[in-house]
Amino acid sequence: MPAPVQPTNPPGIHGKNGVLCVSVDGVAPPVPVALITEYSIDRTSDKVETTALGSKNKTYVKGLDDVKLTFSGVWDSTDDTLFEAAESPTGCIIAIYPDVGNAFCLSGPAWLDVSIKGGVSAAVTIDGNASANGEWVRTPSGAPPVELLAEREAAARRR
Amino acid sequence: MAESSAVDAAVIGVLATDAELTALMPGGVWWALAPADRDLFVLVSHAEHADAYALPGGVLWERFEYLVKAVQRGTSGAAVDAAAARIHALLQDAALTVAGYYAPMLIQRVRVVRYPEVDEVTDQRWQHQGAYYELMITPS
Repeated sequence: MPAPVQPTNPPGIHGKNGVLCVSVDGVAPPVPVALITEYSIDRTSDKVETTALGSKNKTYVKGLDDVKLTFSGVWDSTDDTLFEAAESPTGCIIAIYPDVGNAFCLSGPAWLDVSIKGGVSAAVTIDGNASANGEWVRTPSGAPPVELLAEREAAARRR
Repeated sequence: MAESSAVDAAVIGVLATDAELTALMPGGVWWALAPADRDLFVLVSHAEHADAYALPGGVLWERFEYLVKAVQRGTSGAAVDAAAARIHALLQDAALTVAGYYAPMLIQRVRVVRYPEVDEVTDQRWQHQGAYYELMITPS
């Protein structure tokens, strides 16, 4: 059987237009956070090995999905959103949009840890990591949310 | 819209408007190259420049590294030594005002330079003394 035909490659997306949004109390809609420089979100799942005698290769069954989020940025001296979210006794809601022009989003309730650091030859920066505090959802790719486009336009005007 | 050359102009402006530095270096403050007929002058030039970005896509800050040095014809380094000290007093932690930018996050010396030069054509001696200065500034 011949190999299938390779599909036409769609254009790649640069990471510079990502958006990280946070709701400090887990109730209000998440709002974009400024001065974030990078993020990473890991959705792995537990795997339990089921390999038995006579198996041709190792086999596994899938357990629960996990959510691990890390991000970094520069301290925003005008906005305490991240620290308020970290101090929230009920957790917060975090949403990650890899591109402001696309509706694809990973979001859900989270426990947020945030740290801040600086030095004599460095800007004051923040680091954050979060774990799930409930069920996370993936919004499929598509047109971007109207409010994100408005936020991008507002940010462009500020620049 | 922030324009990086405005930062260059602000740095030169701080130096060019100082009476004490002008007395030491009457040949003026120039970008990269001075007129041929000057004996005592200050040169400012880019050593490095880099943009740092934040999500979603804006310039977070610009980092400049300037070479700022006094130049003197001859074998004596007395004038460039005094001028380099004055340059440092003017630039270290200076409160620059730059159109299109917030106040600088940082202006600091990162390393000094001091070396002689022999003009291979005229056999004249020149003395150079100054420093590299790091400047970090955020577009407004």
